[in-house]
Amino acid sequence: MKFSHIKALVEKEFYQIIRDPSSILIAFVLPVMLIILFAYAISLDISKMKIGLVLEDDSNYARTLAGAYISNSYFDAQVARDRRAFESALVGGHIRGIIIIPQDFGKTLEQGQLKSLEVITDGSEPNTANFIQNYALAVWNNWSSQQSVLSGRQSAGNLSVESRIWYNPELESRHFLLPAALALIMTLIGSLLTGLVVSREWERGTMEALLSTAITRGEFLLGKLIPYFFLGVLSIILSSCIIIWFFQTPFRGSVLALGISGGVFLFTALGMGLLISTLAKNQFVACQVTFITAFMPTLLLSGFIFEINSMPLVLQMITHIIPAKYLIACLQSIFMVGDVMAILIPNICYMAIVAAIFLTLTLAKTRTRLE
Amino acid sequence: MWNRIRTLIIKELRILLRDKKTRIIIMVPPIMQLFLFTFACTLEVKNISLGILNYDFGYESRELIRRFEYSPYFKKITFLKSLKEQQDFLDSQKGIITLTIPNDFSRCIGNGDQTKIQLLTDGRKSSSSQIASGYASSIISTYLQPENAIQTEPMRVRNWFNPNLDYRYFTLPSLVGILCMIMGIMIPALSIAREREFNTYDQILVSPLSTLELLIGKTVPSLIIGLFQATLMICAAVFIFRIPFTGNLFLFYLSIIIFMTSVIGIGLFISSLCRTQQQAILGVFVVCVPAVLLSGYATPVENMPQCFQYLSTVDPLRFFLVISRGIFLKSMTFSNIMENLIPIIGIAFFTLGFAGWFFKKKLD
Amino acid sequence: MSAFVEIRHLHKEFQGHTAINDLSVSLEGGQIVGLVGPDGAGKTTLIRLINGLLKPTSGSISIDGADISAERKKLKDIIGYMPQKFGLYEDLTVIENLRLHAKLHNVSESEQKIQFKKMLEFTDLTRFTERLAGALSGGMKQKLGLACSLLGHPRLLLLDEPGVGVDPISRQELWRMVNELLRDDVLVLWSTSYLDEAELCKNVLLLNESKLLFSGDPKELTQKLDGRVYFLKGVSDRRQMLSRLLDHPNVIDGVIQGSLLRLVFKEGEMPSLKMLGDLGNDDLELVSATPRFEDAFMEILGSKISGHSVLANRLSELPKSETITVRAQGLVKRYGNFTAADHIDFEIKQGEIFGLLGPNGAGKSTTFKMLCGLLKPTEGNAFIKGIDLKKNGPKARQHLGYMAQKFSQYDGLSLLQNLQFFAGIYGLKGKELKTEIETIVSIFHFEPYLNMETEKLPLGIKQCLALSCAVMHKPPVLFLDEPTSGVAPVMRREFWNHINGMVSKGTTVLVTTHFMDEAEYCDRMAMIYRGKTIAMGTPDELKRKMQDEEHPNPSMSDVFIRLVEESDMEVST
Repeated sequence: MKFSHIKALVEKEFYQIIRDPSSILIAFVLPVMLIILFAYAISLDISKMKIGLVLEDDSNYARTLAGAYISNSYFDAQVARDRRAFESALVGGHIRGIIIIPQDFGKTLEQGQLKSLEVITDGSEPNTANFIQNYALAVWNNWSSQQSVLSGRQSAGNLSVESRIWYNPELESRHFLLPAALALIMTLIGSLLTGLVVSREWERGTMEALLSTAITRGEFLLGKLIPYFFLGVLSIILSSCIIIWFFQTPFRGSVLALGISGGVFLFTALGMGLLISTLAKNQFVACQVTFITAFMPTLLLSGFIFEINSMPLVLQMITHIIPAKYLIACLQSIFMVGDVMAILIPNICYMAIVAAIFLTLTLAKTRTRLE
Repeated sequence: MWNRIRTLIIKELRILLRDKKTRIIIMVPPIMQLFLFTFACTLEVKNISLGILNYDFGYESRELIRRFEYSPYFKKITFLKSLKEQQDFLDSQKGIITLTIPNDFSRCIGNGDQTKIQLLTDGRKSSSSQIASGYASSIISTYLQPENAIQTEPMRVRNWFNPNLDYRYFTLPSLVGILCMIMGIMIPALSIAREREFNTYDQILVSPLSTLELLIGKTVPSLIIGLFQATLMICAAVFIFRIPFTGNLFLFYLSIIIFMTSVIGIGLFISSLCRTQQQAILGVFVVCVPAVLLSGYATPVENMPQCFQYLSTVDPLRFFLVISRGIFLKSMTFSNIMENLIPIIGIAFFTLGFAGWFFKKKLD
Repeated sequence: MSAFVEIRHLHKEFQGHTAINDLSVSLEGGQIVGLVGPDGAGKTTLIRLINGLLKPTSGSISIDGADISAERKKLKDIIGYMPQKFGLYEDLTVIENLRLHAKLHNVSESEQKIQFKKMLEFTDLTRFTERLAGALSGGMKQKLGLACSLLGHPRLLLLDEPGVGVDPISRQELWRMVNELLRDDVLVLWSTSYLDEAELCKNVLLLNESKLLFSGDPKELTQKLDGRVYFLKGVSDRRQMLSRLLDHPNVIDGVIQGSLLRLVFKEGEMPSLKMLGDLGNDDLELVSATPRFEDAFMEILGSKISGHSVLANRLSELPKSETITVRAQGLVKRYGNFTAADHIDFEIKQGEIFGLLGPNGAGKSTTFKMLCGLLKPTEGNAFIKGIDLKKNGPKARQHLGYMAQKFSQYDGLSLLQNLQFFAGIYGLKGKELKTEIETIVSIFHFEPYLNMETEKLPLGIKQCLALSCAVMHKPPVLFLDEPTSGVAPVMRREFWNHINGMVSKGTTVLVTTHFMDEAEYCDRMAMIYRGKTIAMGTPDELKRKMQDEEHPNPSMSDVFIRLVEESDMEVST
């Protein structure tokens, strides 16, 4: 292994990167785009849901309750007297749910009885349906505790629950989505970008020229790994800065931990990309395979958005072989908790093993001949 | 003219279906997405692992813990011995929720005094932990209720169109739109980029094909494939996943065709900017990811910042998702469909017109 | 003591198909060895085997006493290789490409400077060191590719068709460079489809159908033809006459050379006009000519081409007329400050072959593309059969058949599907479409390949397919952009045969080429250089213009080079 060869190859790759708009696009523009989208367009915290409020009763109670529904931040309520006014709006998707304060609501209440509110949700979107259900109840609870008529009913229980949320008390979904987006970005750079570069050498006929020079397999691979590793690092630094300073995500761990886990993961992603492109020899196929084997699983199966424990068993087993799952665990802890060794060490070890497997396979599959 | 268009369409389909690689991108990702989206995408929380730090040794706490053990949501209960263990439990994600029972718990319950149970949840997984905390709260709050107490529920909730809030009712109709969009953008974008890379584009440009013929010849094949995939999805939804199809099938297909036309326009537009397939793939990616995220699939549109809401009005998927779920689940009326179809038609006119203009500029 | 390169019983198979069959040869250092043969004969495979990029199925290759399979690593340093696509990184500059190759070939830092300076001077690329390789013209790319393979002083230099798609001037310079830069003991293996290049070698290897047919001095072969090569003078209709003579049993090869026909006769009888039989009323004369390697090549391959083009037979004869079918009127194409084509004017009459010649990057392709509507002229107009391409593109293009420089049929479709597609978009349908396709299939004997995907077709069949796709709708105007680039002589003969036949029937042809002997087929031609027409006329007219004491009998190649040189001088003064 000659240092001068590697240096020459790295230099070559560097020039190619800075001259190819698509590498810059993948390394710097896509990450920023993804971060912005994840920060703004995906939010698992829902607010200002459009609902219809039907006031079938005119009593004082009904009015104050309606007031509670109108004046809080969860709902954006329109009011009507007749529920039919909202039914077609619900079908048309203009509102997400209907809350009905029934006839004689006040009267029954004065008699010390309770007449249930009716809540109709749009079940075609289960998330918002759940949300409306929960917050309709929350508003009700809040309102009813202020009402003297109902206060007597509360005394039944002496047991209360004090609920506290650690690490992310404001429950900002951004705080855990953005660190996870970093993993997605690294997968993209590592796998997609490198996936394209080796196959490009085959397609453009430059591989043939390289194979006839004195370089070895190892030199060739290092010549690819080093520049894209640094590109990936640059991209992570840029993304992390945006996440931490612009979006004000807490960063409670150490830069070292972020560096190590990100760096090790980058090797697995690069290894995967190199392996795919070494086998594919064609940019188009490489790209598709990367999409199917790296991007989609990272998005859906890494525990990023969807809870792994709730998936069917087969899928749960598949998630174990997705390296991004381990990185996301690391990143979420580093950003929101701190350097939790119990999480970092096993996850980093796992990623290192995967990286080693990918790179060894790539080395074995890299050919020094045309056949 | 029809003869030429037909020739173009046949060629396009032959290339798409003959080439193994393209067959793969047409068949594998949709099936994978169907599989992943229907099974992986669920915001339900099951099999929760719970930590309990119990300072109380009385009967009441044991009873309460038994309630948790019987709950279908909590699978694994770990007994913690100290605050440090509790911290460790949450920090290292052994579980997302812990319960702290105070040492006077049994005594207070016995005396009818006020007492408090503390729930700690992991904010790293805020949605799951919120739901878990909801389950836990309801177990705790019902603990003291006498079995025989008949209480009026403060609310009667009905979930229209999907009474059990089955997540698949949401996923599958949406997937019809997402897949049609990805195909509709990718196929024409790649097909033209490929023609450029393999020099066949010049060959077509010197033939007597007119802009309109070329445009139609590139649009129809993607439309056919998109419709085929949509049909597959609909069948999978109805026959495998047993999701009711309540609306008008004809209107649904009509909407799909119009929607596909608008996204094919986007694909053609991308292709006119790209020289190579690699650029086309990136272009497709750069367009599709925001289009899906801004469509209201992941988050309701009204929850986004204002500028994103404006941006989403040029996203045909946003309107189509309403139609798709509407026809599938809500037997949506014609006027409601039209309301969402008109923006799509507008987008289609714009994108196809733009693509046509681009083509014409190159041809003449 | 064995030779520098020793190949013994070399055999190479690809999935049951034999690419090299029992090849043995020894080559000494200090010479340029030409590697020639028809397409698919195994030239590239042989070069890759020698380079160790492929492994022989059986047999051995040793270089400087070391076996390439076993000691490839060691040998890499003494082998320089230039692949067909030059192996350059298009997004790296000239100097960066050189630097990369120097380092990979273990050239020391101090040595690098000396070598780069020398290389850049020789290749005349000093001005362009900072230019991206992708932005260089074909000729410059080729020179840079050669320079890269020469770094580190290889003792064995393998060049795989360096001249494909490159103009005569660049090829001449390449030849000069290789000769000057080589030290005494270096062996150069030069694969080429230009036989005039091969003729300059002292030693050639002639491959055909994976076998070595001949190795040795090309003169050995050429000498055999002494007294059998003649010019036929005074022919009025060259094309018709050639087509008739090619069917004559005593004529084994014939080409058009300006107003003359160049004929190669069978061994035996002394050739005479009488032997050729009744040739009409022309006042004919046979003049003896010097044999060329190409003549010998055609003879040794023994593949005689019939003079009749079945492809042309299916055309109905267009009435002879003097109408202008293609007209370029003040065509200008500007890219920013750069003028790629500067007021190009010419007219092509019906039934004429018009050639567009010029060095790479001179504006010939730009002109060509404006004429078929692929580029919009900045100024001026292009007409086909009187229809303005700007105004009614689709209608004008209906009259056009186009064959692109690079193979441009659909790889994903089978041969038959390609035919169906191109027939369809040119408006053939139903029964007509069916019969046309049947005719084409039987003309080119496509039957065994009908359902094969085009990427797997042999090169010759691909070219025929491209031609048939262009002519299926019987266009009155045919545009051919370097139709024979990289194609071996036999195939090229066949091609021109078809073109001649179709022209005889009244088709108008516009052609660009880098083969100067093909330029001889043209009725008239235009030389384009630096975006301008620097000369126009019949081949003989142009040759006459260039006649002087030094060149009493200039070849088309001489004309080409002189015209460019003169134009350069004008610019500099």
